[in-house]
Amino acid sequence: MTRDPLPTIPVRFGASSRQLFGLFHAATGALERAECVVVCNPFGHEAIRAHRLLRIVAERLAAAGFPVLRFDYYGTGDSDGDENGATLGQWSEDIVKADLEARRMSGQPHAAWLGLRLGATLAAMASAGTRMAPRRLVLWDPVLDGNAYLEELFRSQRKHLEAARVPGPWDPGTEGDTEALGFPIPAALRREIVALDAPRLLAASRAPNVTVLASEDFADLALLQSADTARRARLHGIAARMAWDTEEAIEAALVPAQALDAIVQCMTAAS
Amino acid sequence: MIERSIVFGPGEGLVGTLCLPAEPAAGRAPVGQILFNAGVIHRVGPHRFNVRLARILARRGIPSLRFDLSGHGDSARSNGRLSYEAQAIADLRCAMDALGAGSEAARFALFGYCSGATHAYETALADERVAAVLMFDNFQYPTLRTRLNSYRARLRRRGFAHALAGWTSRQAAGLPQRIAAAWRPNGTVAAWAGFPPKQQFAENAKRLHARGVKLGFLYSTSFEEYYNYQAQFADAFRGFGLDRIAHWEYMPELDHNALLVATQAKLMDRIERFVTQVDRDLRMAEA
Repeated sequence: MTRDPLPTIPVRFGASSRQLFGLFHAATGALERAECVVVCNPFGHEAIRAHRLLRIVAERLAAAGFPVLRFDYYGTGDSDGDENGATLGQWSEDIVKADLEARRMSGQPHAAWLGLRLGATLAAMASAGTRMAPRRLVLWDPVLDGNAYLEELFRSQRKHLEAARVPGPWDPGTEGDTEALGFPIPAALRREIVALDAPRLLAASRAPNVTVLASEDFADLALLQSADTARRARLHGIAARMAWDTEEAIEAALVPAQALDAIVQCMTAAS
Repeated sequence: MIERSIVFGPGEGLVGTLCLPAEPAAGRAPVGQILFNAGVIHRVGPHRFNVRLARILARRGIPSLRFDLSGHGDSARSNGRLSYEAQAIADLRCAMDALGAGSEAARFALFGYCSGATHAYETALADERVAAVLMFDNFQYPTLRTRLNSYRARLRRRGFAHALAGWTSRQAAGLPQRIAAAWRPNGTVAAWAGFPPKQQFAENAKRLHARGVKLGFLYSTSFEEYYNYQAQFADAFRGFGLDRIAHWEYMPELDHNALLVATQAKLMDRIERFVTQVDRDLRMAEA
């Protein structure tokens, strides 16, 4: 049996004690772009659910001439570490490391970062704190209100436990270690998410070009429009409801064609 | 523990991560554990289950490969020449080659989560390197007691009228299969049409046992209609002797998605115990 050669290369990068897993998609299109793309995953069950979508986005961007690096933050996916050591600060540093790796592998001097949900927020955080800011920041349904995000995860957790007839009440408490939809949320990470000031991070981004992609059910749209970020970011609507908390979210992949087209169009149009 | 991400298989189209003990066991190569997709979830498994399990096993001296079947996760799509099931078996055989090359393991344990259990079981039938198969939430064969338990539970939750309406509609839907089964000697309706008939399943399981393959079946509480009490496996297969040669366990505290971290740990513990026992047995057999 023969197949086309895989245009992707799995890599492990970063310090030897803290290796991150990445998958590099070499550009396959005839068109040569002036930047590589770093994909910043969402957190927890959303990362599982978005894996297929982000693979296809990466393949389509590679076919359009962009070298793309997808990667897992420390303590997530195939990277080193366990969930208990996770912090937003470390994950935003991981984005900067992934950026360096993508530029090294592709030979491109510039990068665009594409972040989804909490990954979008992390990309904004990383781009505010690094001198190697990306030329473009494309944020899809960023988490702007950390407290509301956690409350939504907890609501969804209760709903799924009830549907699965798991006995006993479940209570995340108000602080300390907790979990949501199968993933631990250590106390330090929980505190960081609650304290997130994402609109300020977005406003502080050093990326010269910031675009926010908003699905029809993007919960933080009003917050985005009312904040300073509205002056910083261009807003594009995606004609699809992502419903991140649906029952299917636990064990389903999701690849809505409208979302896929909108992302690829946004990335290719402005490069 | 050492982790290495690799590509392997025809055209290097399959993507996986080797997880190796920091200090490989001296002497004979131990059993190697193969982990792969649960439904559409990529190789890390539900809630990163496969990653955590692989690292636990590595600390016990057992190497593993977690990988994506063709077209799943990060692996390349197949060329379509094989059926879905045949492709999965071919991929699992490639995974055993890759883990064998990366760790010197010569025998393998397969863990199949949900639909993956069918791939694991079929691969065990096709490849003599498989030393053990552990299957989670698959191959449910209900008994009369299963049916009664299920009706009773539904009655308790939903009331008589709703339960009766549901029962009537299900009976009507399953009637053709039951009539067909009644005409087959030893025919039994499995939980799903995709399962082999009970006798065929039992005979194949006995073939695997005769070959020295350890068989394990774990069941969650999520498929209440098809599996709902501890002794169901024994009751369902008593006439075939399967209850004496396989390990089985009903885990009523566990839902199919192992949503709570504490229940994930319980499932992981069962798998760890099963695989380390297989490893010990293989070492003793060779000593």
